[in-house]
Amino acid sequence: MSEPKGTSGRKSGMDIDSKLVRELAELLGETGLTEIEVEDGERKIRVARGGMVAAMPAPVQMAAPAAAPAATAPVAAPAADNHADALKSPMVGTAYLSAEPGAAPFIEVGKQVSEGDTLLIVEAMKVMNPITADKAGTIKAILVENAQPIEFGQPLVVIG
Amino acid sequence: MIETVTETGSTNTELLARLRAGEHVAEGDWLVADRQNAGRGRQGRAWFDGAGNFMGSTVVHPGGGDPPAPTLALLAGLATYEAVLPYCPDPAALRLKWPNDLMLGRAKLAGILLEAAGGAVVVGIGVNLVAAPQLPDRATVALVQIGPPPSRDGFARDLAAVFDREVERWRNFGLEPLLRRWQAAAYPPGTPITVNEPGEGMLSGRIEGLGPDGSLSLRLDDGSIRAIHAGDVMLA
Repeated sequence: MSEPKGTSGRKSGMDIDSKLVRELAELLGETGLTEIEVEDGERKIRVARGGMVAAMPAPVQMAAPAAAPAATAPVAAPAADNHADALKSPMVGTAYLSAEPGAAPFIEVGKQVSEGDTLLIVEAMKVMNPITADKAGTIKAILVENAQPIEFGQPLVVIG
Repeated sequence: MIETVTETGSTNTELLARLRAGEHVAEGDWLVADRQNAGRGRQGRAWFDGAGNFMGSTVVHPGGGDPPAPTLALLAGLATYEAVLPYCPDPAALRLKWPNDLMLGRAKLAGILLEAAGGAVVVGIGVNLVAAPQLPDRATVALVQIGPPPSRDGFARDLAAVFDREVERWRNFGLEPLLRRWQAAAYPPGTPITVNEPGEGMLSGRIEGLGPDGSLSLRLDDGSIRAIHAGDVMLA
C-alpha cells in the first residue's frame, strides 16, 4: 500500500503537479513514512497514506466522496420511513416519558396501546400536554429520551 | 360557579377526570377543595395540603382565534398576582417568576399547574393564605406572615373574577398586552437567575425579558440570548 491516497494543494487541484505527487508517493514507499509535505514558494503539497486520508481537507481522489453517500444511504432510508409514520410533537417543549421522575414510563417498545392512551407528556411553559395515541397498535419505536427538548413537528413515537 | 368540596385527591385530577368522562366543564367554573390528599405540583412533586389555604382548579377551552394555549401559564400567574396584590403591604415585594410562580420577596407564595386534556386546559392554583410548608430546598411564605389574609372563600371569589377578566383580555387583545403586563409584575430585567434546562443542565445569566411567544429570554454570562421554553428558573 504505497500508493498515494490523497494530496492537498494550497490552490485548486488543477495546479497539482502529478509528477511531483508521484515522486513523493514513491518516496513515501521507500522511506516507510506515512506523510510527506513539501513547500515550494506558493505551492504546498502533502502526500499521505493509510488512516491519514480521512483528515485531508481536499481529497483529490474522486472515489472517496462518491462512495460516501452510497455508504450512508441504507441507514438513512429506513429511518426516514419510520419518521413519516411517527406521531409528531404539536409544540416546542420538553418530553417526559413518565408521569413523574422514577415512575414507570407510559409506554415501552412492543407494548400494545389503544387510541387515546397517553404515550408521553410534552411540557411547554409548564403546561403538561399529554400526547395520546392517534390509533391502536404496537409501539414500534420511541424516538425521544426522557427530559429531552423537543421541537415543533419532531417525530416522537412510531405506532405500527 | 364555585363548587367547594371538603376533600379530594387533587382538584386538577378531578376536573381532568370529568373532562375525560365527557362531562362539560364550563369556563368560569371552579372546583375548590378544603383539603387535598394527593395535591400535585410539576413532575410529581407534592403540593402542600394546608388547611385554610386556597386550592382550586378551573378550565379554559382555547379556540382557534386565541393566543397559543401555553401562554395560559402566564395568564394564570398574572391573575393570581392580581388577586393577591391587595393583601400585600409592599406591592414591590410581590413578583412573578417565569412562567407562573408567584413569589413574595424570594419565597414561594403560590404555585400553578396546567394540564391539557383534549382541547381543554385545566388550571390548578394553590395559594398559601395561612400556612406554608417547611421545605429543605426552597423558601416558602404564607400571606398571613405579612398581614391579615383574606378568607379562603372570599379569595376564591376574587380569583375567579380576575381570572375571567384575564381570559377575556387574552381573547380580545391578544398576547402582547398580556406579556407587557406580566413583565411589569415580574422580577425586572437584569435579575440574576439560573435555569435548569432539560438536556443541558444549569445555565446561568440574567433575565432579559419575555420573547414574543412568552418564552423567557435569558442573557447568558457570555452575552448571548437564549429562549427558555421549559426550564426550571431559580433566583441566583
